[in-house]
Amino acid sequence: MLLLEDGFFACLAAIGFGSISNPPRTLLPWCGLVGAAGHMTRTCLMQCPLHLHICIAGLLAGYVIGVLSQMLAHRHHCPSEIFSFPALLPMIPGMYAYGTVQALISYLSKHAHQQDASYYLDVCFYNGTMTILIILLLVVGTSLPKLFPKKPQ
Amino acid sequence: MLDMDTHNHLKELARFMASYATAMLSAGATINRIERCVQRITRAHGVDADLSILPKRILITVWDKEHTHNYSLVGQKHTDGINLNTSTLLSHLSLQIEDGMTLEQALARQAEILRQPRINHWLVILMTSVANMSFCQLFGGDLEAMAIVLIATAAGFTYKEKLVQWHWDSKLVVIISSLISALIGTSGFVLGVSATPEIALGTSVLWLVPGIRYINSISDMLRGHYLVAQSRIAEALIITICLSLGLCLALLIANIRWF
Repeated sequence: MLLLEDGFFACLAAIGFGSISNPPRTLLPWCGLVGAAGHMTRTCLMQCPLHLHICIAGLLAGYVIGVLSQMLAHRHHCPSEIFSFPALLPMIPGMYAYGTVQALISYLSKHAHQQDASYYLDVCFYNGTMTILIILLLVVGTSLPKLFPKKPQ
Repeated sequence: MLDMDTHNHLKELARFMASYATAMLSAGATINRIERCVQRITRAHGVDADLSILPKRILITVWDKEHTHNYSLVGQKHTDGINLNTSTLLSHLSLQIEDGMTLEQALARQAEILRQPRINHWLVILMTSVANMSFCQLFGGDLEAMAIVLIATAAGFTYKEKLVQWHWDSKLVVIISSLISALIGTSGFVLGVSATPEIALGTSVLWLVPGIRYINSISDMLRGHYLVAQSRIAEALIITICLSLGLCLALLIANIRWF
C-alpha cells in the first residue's frame, strides 16, 4: 500500500515536472506511469532486506525506465527520450544538488570567522559526489537497453 | 545548366537541414537523436552531410554523391526552452521524409510544427505545483507542509513567468523565483503550522532544479559528445547555483540556520 502511494506521487511528480518541457500532451500519462514504475523500483530496492544504496537502486530503476520507454517508443513511433526523461525527473537528486552549494557557502563563512570549517568541506564534497553519481547511474541505467543489439526480425 | 540545378538543390536542402537541426538542438534533443534524424534526411535525398554541433551553433555542409558540389551553412540556436513535443514531431518528420515526403511538404510541415503552441502556462504552473507537493509527500512531509510547498511553487513559478516576459536576465530570474518560493517555504518555521517545516522548506525550491538539462548532458556525455555535454551541464550547474543562492538568501532573511 505504501509502495502504491509512492508510485502515485512519483507519477504526479513526473507528469508535473515533465509538463515544463512541453511533452506531447497525449503521451504525458505514459510518462507518469513509467516514472511511477521507476520510482517504485528504487524505493522497493532501497527498503527491501537488501537495503541497496541509492545509487545502485537508481541504476536498476533507470534500467526499468529504459526498458519501458523503449517498448512505448516502439508502440507510439516516437523517440524513447519522450518517456524516459520526464520519468527520470522524480529521481533527480535536487536536495543533494543545492546542498552542495549551501555547504560551500557555509564553508566560506566559517572560514571567514576563523572557525573550524572542515566539516562543511566534507558535506560539500559528499553532496556533490552524490548528485553527479546518482544522475550518472540513472542515465546509464536508462541507456542500458539500447546497448544490446536488436533481435533480428 | 545541370550544375546550377544540383547547386540549387543542395542549397535548398542545406537550408532546410540547417533549420531542422537548429530547431532540434533548441528543443533540447540529444545530439545522438539529431544526427540520426539528419542522416535519415540525407539518405532520402541521396546526398551526404557533415554535421558539427556546437553548444550554440550547428555547422552543416551538404555534398552531392560524387562530392563535386557542396553547400555550407551555419545555424544559430534560439532560446525558446526545452520542447519535447517539437523534438518528437521533428523526429517523426524525418521518418516521413524517408518515406518519400517532398522538400516543399517537409518545409511546410516543419513550419507548422514550430508554430504549435506550448501547454497553457497556467496549467503548467498548476501541474508543477502539484508535482512539487507530491515531492514533499515523498520526502515525508505532512499535509501542512504539502500545502506550503504547493503555494510556494505556484507563487515562485508565477513570478518566474512574469520576469521571463519582462526579459530579465535568466540567472536573476532563477535567484528571485527561488527566493520567493523559499520565503514562502519558511512559513512552516515562522508560523509554526507544520510538524515537518524543514521538509517544506527543503522541497519548496526543487521545482527549479534543471532535471532535463542534467539528463541530456549525461546522455550526450555517454555517447561521446563532450563539448555539448559540457555546455549543457554548465548551464544546469549555473541554474542550480542560482537557486541555491535564492534559498540561502531566504534563510538569511528568515534567520534560519542550515546544517
